Amino acid sequence: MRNKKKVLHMKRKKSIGIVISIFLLSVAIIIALRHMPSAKTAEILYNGEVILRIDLKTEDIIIIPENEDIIFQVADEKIAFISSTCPDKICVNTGFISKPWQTATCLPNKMTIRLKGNSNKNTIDMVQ
Amino acid sequence: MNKTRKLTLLGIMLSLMMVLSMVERMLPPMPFMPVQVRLGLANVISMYAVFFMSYKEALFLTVAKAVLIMMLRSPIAGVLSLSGGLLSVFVVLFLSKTNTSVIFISIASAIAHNLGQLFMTRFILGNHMILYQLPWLIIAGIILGLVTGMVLEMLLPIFHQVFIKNEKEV
Repeated sequence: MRNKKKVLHMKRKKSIGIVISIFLLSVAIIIALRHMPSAKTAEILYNGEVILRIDLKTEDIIIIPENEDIIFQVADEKIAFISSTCPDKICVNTGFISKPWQTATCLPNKMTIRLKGNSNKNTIDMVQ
Repeated sequence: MNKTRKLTLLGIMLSLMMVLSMVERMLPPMPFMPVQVRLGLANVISMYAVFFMSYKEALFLTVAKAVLIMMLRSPIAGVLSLSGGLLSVFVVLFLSKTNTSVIFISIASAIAHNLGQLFMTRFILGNHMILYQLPWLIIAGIILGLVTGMVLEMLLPIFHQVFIKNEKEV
């Protein structure tokens, strides 16, 4: 393959430097994202279209007509999938989300939860 | 290496990748990371194919794995495996021509795999919010790429022995 000298060449140091910088940059971005204010409303999308808007201040369990086997829960100003028919259960395992940049998705069922920061809506709307 | 032997060898490597992939998925998700991040041990075998066989074997393994996943899990999982795996293999192929270390290549390929899957997921979902997972996926790629690279380096002699040297050619 290539020789396995233990001498730390300049190229090796450069590689390590690049990796560490990217790592630290990512950590900084994550810290910034975590400090963003929590979202006030959530939107549920089916096939990319918003079908429901929810105020996160309510405490609720939600089932929507488009797919009655999927259950959402709103609690503590957060929202999550709590039950789904998909085999992977990635959506359910995502857990509760509350920041505007977070999403939870059930790919096979084409459902996504999206969060928004402004608090214009204060009741549950059906959007057709 | 004759054709039959190569075919058998590829079959074994492919099964190894599938088993590793399946066993990884049975482990609980990593804390603090997006749910789909896994150890990526199948990448060890894929990288070995790039370094010690040729691009044809590596591409075959990647595509065949994606097809199997498409049949065993779901078409979406298969497409994600293909997008992550192809980007990862291309990165390894490209970097293997330059003079970078195995660990760096492993990290780059892990990040590439995550990015490939992320962009395909974004394409399938049609909304860009999922791209916010980028920093986590990069960190996961760095850490797990490091682990995978170390595993490859440790297993290298065994792989050589089992995959390549054990032939009795006339």
